[in-house]
Amino acid sequence: MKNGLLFLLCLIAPYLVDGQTPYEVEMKLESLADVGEDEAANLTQLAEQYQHIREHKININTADKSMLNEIPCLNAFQVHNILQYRKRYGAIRHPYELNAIHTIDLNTAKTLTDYVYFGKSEAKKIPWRKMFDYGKHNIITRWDRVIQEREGFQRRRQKASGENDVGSYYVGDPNRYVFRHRFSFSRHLQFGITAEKDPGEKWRSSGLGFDFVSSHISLSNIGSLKRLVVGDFQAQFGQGLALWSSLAFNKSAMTLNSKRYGRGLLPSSGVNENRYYRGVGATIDCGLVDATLFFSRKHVDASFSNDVEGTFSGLQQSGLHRTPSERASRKALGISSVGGNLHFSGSNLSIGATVIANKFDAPLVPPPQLYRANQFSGTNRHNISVDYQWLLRGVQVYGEAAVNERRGFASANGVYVNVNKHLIFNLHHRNIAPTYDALFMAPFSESQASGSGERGTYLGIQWNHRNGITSNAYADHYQFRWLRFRASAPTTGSDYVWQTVFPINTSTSTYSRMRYQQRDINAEDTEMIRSLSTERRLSVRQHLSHKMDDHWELASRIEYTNHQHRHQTKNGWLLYQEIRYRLPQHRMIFTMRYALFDTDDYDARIYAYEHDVLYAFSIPAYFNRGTRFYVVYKWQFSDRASVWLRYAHTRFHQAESIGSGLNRISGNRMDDVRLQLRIVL
Amino acid sequence: MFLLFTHLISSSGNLNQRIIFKSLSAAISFFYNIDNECVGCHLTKMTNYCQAITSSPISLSTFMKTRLYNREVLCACFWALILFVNNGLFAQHDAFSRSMGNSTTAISNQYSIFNNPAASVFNTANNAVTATEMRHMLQKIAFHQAGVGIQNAKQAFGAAILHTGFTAYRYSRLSIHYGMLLNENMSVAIRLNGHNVLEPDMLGNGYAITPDASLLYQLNQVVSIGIVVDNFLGIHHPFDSEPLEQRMAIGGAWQMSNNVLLSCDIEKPMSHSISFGAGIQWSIMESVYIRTGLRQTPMINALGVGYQTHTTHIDASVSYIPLLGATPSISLTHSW
Repeated sequence: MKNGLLFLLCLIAPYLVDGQTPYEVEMKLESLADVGEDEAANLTQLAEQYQHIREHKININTADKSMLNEIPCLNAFQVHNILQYRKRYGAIRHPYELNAIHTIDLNTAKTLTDYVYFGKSEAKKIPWRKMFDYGKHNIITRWDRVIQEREGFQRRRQKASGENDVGSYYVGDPNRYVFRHRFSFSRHLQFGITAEKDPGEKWRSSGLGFDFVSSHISLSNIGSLKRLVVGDFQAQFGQGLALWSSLAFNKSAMTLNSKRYGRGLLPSSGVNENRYYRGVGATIDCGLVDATLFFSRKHVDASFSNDVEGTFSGLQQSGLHRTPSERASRKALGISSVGGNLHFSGSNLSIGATVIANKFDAPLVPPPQLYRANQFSGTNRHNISVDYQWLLRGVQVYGEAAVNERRGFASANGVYVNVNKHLIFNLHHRNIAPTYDALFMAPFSESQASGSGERGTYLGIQWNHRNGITSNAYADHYQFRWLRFRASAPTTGSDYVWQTVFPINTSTSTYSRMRYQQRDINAEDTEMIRSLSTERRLSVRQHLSHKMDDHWELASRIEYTNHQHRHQTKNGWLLYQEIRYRLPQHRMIFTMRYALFDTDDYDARIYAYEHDVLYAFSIPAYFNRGTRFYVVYKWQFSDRASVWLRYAHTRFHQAESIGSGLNRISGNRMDDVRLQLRIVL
Repeated sequence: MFLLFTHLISSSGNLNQRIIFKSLSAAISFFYNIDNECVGCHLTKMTNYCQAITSSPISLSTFMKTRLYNREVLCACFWALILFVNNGLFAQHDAFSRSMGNSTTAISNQYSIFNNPAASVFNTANNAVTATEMRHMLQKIAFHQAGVGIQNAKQAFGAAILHTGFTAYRYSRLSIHYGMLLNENMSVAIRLNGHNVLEPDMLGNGYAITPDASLLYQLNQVVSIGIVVDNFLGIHHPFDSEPLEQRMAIGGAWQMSNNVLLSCDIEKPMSHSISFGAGIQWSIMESVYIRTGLRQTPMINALGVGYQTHTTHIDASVSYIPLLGATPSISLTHSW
């Protein structure tokens, strides 16, 4: 079964052009938000990857296993069955024929037609000298800012007017700029550049002036050269225990996504300023075995240690360089990395081995806090892992075992059982020693924090009822064998989700979702001796979506959340109504939402996915009491150019300020404006 | 507002009257689940004081029988009921809505000009509507409402007026709305409300204009969804720095058969708890309807009857809140 990223891409696929996102994706993104809103930025890369696949369709009759694996909406069972079908009955000549393939239902067949064509032979190859005639340039420029002035910018003005005692402040202006350029030619060549300046960051005097600039050149499928990447790239191997630099989803209402599907080396096109490699990497196709080797050298943001001179206390993940102290940490630590992977791929069995070695220019020494006792310390960091995948009829077994330089051991193993066309089970077990961690790891787990020693078992079920109703559920029990942030003792927890989607008719569907989580955390962080207390969170959601006709779509949602900790109960409510209008002949899409929320505090917050401009994603947390309104307008004013405008207004009830610290805004209103232009040549 | 409270408490006659007033205020705060921080704090103090003096809350009927109340006490009740309680200024006051547990957000009929102007677009005739209710049997807390809806095939215009009050306090609201069909199954409407509060003895005359937006869409021939957002710009009260109540309501209606109509509704005023309501209408014979509804926070039980001729509807209802008592209302509509 393919992992959540690819499935997400598949779902996003038909909607990227007009900016619409189906509710399955919303669910996924909202669950992602529970982990961290910053991760939403990484979706940009996923979206682009999808777009590339969609613009260069695959011939389903000549594609080999690895090419079919790239199609996001297909799982391993389906890929296997397509190959078996072709072997037995010959070429697939029409989309309707897909329905005859076991495990491919009508929805999958419909989606698949966005990725494949049904040719008898490979499309005529275009010579390289015509690369620029047939290639496509994709240019995006984006500007956005919050209208109200934050505290950090006020202090900047005070500083500029001669006041010295203003404390920390933002050094740059409040505008955010993003520039992206991609050129792609067939499925063989891609190069591009991404540049970004965050609010509060200063324009740089060197380069393009942006605070973050990323570029890459990628060659693919040329003879035995499967991939060559020069510049910034991502690496995804195994189950994410040893080497997985990009985004990976965890638990969500889409309950069959515990398996990671590594795509090897990929060009990095996101705006995450830390999770990528910079250098050169290549994958060579040696028949049944793919060999990958890469080298990277880059500087990352790191905090200087206050205790030991010349050392660093930790790596920073925010990518923000707004204040003098943040700027001091900018690219402070150099990392050299070399890694490789060997991957054998048979018809039913795949086995891989991964090695990664990282060397820091200066030692990392975590602060002397007990919960950080198992975190990495030193300059050399190594990981070795072995992964496997075995598919037999309706059963798929997969896993990875990894060890690091401290002999910390980690494993992740799982099985999918396709009982019949209607019922699929997914069992996943992970066991990560407290002493195990890696520079870039993203296993399917409760926490991505290193050094906590997570062990847990996850059971997911998807049941497709005969009348079109789909039920998903999972139960996850886990324990941390070492301390964590806000947990001063080993702890346990559990997480349950149930969701049922009811298609009322072809244009209307509704889903009900309930999630219950409980985990142990410190009862009171300020006490000298900290005892544990169980934190419980319950959320219940009812969502209705209705497609009125070719122009109008509506969505209504009611969500309730309940948070309990130390005999304190906090509740939260969210109601929203969304309207979308599209005018195809005028190439215009208009989306509007009004939400009213009321939560007792941040603990009872509610996340809701919001539509945004292309390649941007917004999943704000609704908390306290207030209203939020946003409107997104897209106008494709020519075949080659589109413009997006987004305005969001949040008003908190009876609030004197919004946010805290340098992000504080005086007053109870916040307005956010975003403008984007896209040109395709 | 608190000035008024302070004034009332200090001037409301003898100790017994003050005790009764505090008991009533405490009861109101309890039954209406007031959670406005300031008001809640104020009333909590009164509740504590009240509990220290009286061992049990006093019922409104008992209170009325004592004949100890005076104008100020009634005024205080009025303030508590109208400005603090759930559904205060935005409550549905016609007999039809009352009898359906105020869950008529998604119902399209003559009363839609009050409750959801977008739903009125689906009406097939012009309407004139009057409604009056005597809240908790107190004449000084009576609401009078009248409106007219004019429409063509795809658009609807309307105007309505609401009035309540007595010598020391008067509140009037004039509303005009415009609605239109976006397609055959969906309509939207915008409503502008002009609020006028008159307190000759205290704060004088105050005005405010608030906009409302509403939407109605039909999932199929028998199920519809309605949404109403009141005061979506958060306009402030003329005498207060606080906004006039913002409210969002999402409701559904299901014409279960020719004789049975079901409705439900979820309503979230900004300053108060979320509230659920449901109602059912049953046509027991041609032109005669009986209705019943429930509303939570505060708990309201309602019963109603309706009779219709070719052009005229008469509806009557009684809604009941424990402790505060019954509220009768009657409405009359004419269609042409």
